[in-house]
Amino acid sequence: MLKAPPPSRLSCALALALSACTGQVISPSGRASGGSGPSVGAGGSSAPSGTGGSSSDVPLAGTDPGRVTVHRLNRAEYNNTVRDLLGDTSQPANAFPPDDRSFGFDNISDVLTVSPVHTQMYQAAAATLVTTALAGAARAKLLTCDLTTGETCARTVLRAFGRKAWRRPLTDAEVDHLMIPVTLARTNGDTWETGVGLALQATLVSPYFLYRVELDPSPTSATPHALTGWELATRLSYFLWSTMPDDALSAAADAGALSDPAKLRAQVTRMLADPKASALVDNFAGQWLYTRMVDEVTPDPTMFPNFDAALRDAMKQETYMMFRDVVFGGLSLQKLLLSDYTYANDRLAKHYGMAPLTGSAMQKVALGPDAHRTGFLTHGSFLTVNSHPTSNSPVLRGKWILEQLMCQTIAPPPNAAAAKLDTSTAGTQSLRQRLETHHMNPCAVCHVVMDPLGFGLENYDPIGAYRTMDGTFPVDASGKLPDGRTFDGAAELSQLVAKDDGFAACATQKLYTYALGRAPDDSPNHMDPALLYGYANALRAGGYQLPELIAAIVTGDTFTKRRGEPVAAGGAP
Amino acid sequence: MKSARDSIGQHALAVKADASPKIRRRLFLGGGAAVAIGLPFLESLAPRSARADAPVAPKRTVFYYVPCGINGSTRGDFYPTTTGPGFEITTMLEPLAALKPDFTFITGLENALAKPDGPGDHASGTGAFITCAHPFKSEETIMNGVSADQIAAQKVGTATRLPSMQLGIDGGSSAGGCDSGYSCAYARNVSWADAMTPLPKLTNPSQVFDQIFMGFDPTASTAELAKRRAYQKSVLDSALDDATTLRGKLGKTDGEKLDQFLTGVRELERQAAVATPTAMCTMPTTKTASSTDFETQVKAMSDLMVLAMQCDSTRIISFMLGNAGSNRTYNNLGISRGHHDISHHGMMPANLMMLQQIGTYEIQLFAYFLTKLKAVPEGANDMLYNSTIFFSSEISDGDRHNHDDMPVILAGHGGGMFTPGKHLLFPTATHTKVSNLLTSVIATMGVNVKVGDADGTLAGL
Repeated sequence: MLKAPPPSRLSCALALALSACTGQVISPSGRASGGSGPSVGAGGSSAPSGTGGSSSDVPLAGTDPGRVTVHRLNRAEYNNTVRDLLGDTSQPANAFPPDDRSFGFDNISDVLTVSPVHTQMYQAAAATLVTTALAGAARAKLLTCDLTTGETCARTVLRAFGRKAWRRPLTDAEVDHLMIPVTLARTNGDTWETGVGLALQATLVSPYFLYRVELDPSPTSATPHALTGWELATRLSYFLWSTMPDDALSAAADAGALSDPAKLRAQVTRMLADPKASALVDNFAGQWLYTRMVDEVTPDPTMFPNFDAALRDAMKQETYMMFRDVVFGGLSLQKLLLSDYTYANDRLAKHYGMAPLTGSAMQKVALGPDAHRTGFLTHGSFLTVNSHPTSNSPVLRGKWILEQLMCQTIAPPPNAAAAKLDTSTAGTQSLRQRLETHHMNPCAVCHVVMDPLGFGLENYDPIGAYRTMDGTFPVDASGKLPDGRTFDGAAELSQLVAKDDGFAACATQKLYTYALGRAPDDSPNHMDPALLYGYANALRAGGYQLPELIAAIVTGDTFTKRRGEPVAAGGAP
Repeated sequence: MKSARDSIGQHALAVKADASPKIRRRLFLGGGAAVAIGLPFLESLAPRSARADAPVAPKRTVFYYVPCGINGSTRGDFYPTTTGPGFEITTMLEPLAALKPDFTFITGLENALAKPDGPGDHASGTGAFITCAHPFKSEETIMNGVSADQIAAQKVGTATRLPSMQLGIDGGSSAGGCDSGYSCAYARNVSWADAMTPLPKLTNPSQVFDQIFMGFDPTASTAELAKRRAYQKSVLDSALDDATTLRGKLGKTDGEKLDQFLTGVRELERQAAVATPTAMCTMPTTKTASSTDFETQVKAMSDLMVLAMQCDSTRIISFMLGNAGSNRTYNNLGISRGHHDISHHGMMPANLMMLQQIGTYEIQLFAYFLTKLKAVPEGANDMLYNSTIFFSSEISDGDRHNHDDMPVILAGHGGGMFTPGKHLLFPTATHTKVSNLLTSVIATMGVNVKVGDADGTLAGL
């Protein structure tokens, strides 16, 4: 265990200020706690993320790796899986009901439920997928022998397909079972191929395909055990790629190689170099950084007639391409907030007021001092999704930084008219000046922390364009934190956030939640608090490299082990 | 026919065993090219004198959700001040004026268990919208009650191919939290099959269309349809076997997840064995398309709800005009700020005026749906007469986030069980429950089960 770094001034300041603000804290396990105790936010009083930690707060190492609820493939995972299994890029899961989200991610298995609408769509999708596959390029890959020769070939085809689709070898009994629809078709006078088609559908409607199944030798025993190689390969593949294991990973699982940490780590390195790792950009960063939401915002069309599909797309691409560099290009998470370059095209460069670019293709652009852009907090994507349709919202922007980059929980405003901004001064005061009245009434307890962070971004309008005037008022982008420290503008704000210990702890917590599909658990004797504390320290010490954090999580005990669920220990009230 | 059945062997027997008289009639009708399907009420063919002997039209219930509460510039712009049959149509109720004899405005009901633990009124109020249970505040342990529509669906839903349908407009945002520590499951779903199983809604009209006409193929022969069903059943049986085997190897929580899957597959097998529509309806020649225009989409969904009930594909529907705390911008009304933002009105006239606009618009869209229902004749009456539609929101006032004094409209006559056309006022001090009203609503379908925290039915409807 690395020695704990000294607590950062920012996170201490935020924690102290917010302890009165949050009132009620939702602990990582999702159970409401009373909000007592000195620290706040996602770490809760046990602070597994190490936010504001001091050496006396080092969490005790636990022995319980926990368990991950059986995980239904979410829409992205289903789409990617059928792409890799059948070469089908039609993204059939886009028609499935949206996956309910918890903890900010749509891969939390506890809330991935199934309804009759789901099963109906699974069945319909399976039928279409198989028909398409047998009529197209996938046919030759699926039908590796001459089906007209009969049963042996049918079994060969089903066994090979099942191995991939169910992400583990099939037993003989399972192959026998899949032959039932084949026999039915034959009895009806239909071809072997028709029968095998039905069996392929059955494979795709099976829970062994639709769920990532992990079995406990004793389902009611709390004794930890290692995942099987196939289960671990599956966890790893869906974490890094949001899809099924490829042949190399499957072969490693078959050979039992993944129980060797060095070989497991080698797989991580190999897989992070594969283009499929861009799933981390789409699904992890897309949700962590809210980039997906760029498609959903509706800036006032009369105020912002230039906000169109091309600009939306360029904003998303900017953030996604920067995060690609985090995954593939060695860009540190810290530098994501402090980068001296970005990606833009003609449209975005014009919007940002940067030197003109040619063409709609995104290109790498160095950011000089005149560019007024300094990393993620100046990305149009972030600025736009955290604005109101007609106005800036320093509150939303500040709150977002605290929640997504510091993992602090902010209580919503009291439901009282007193909480409202006074509009009578709209003509005589800037938005900032009016917001500052927050600091003089009961709202202050939260807003003295949120608003200054947002004020630092006042140079960017509701769709992220640079400005020096807010209407008729000159922009004041200075901020003062409760501990008295000051900053001016986005660059200084970004420095403050990126170098805060809370940022590393929070990034760790977000990635960990996404990796396991469950939130960190601060139950007594759970491994999570100490592991997260160690991961965050290592992240800081190792230069904020995401691939290193990924490798640490994957080779850690909570990723490679699980336990059953003792009968008496239900989580429900 | 016979040879086809023989040739599919065992599974054909299963199909046959499942077949109700309706199925055989359906099979008999199958193969025709007509797009009018099923066994109609034959309104047009029945002589007027024969109407008394006409089949009793089924009763339907619809649960219609609008987000963010309802506010007007003043209370009196929405809530009538006079009670009884002579109540005044307020400004915001104007779109419903022509339907005054067909709805009852109900003031003062309370959904006490919808109150969240700490913040989270939108998610909690939505989760509890028709469960009238207390949603457990969590992002991982989903616990709610069974919703009124599902209580009814589980009792009488098998009378139709689809026990119930869930429709809506918004799938849900793609990132971020939903509401203050509540899983998005609470914020997006009003229908709950059991404490842990929210039923997601369809938001694409073409998918709703497919659901209504699932399995209907006028070009296929009877034998072909029977074989298709048998093949589909073999696929589902296989999944069912796998799930049953797997279920036996799992602990409590994992097992509960598999139970949802098993329930879903069994339901699908039941649906496949049931005949397609039995009431008069016409399959449109073109599938309803999805629209990016809000009003077009709402109207398409409203039309489809009517169609689903006309075809007797289902008799129970829940519909969400938005999700919990929707921040939709109504640019078509000249409102570019988000609904939720505005709903925290702070008593500011400009905000209240916009909320009045949005609320009136919602009433107008609701009136569209009711008018369509009323336009469907059924025997001596119409479909609105034979239906009961519960209209409300997850909170009452957008700023106060209160769960008492709920805005409620009860439309339809419940097939004669209700006498609408009045304003019922329950003083909030009486804490009269929304759940009692919902218990009365599902009683119109012959389901006498208390909903959520109900302690009876609601008198005076």
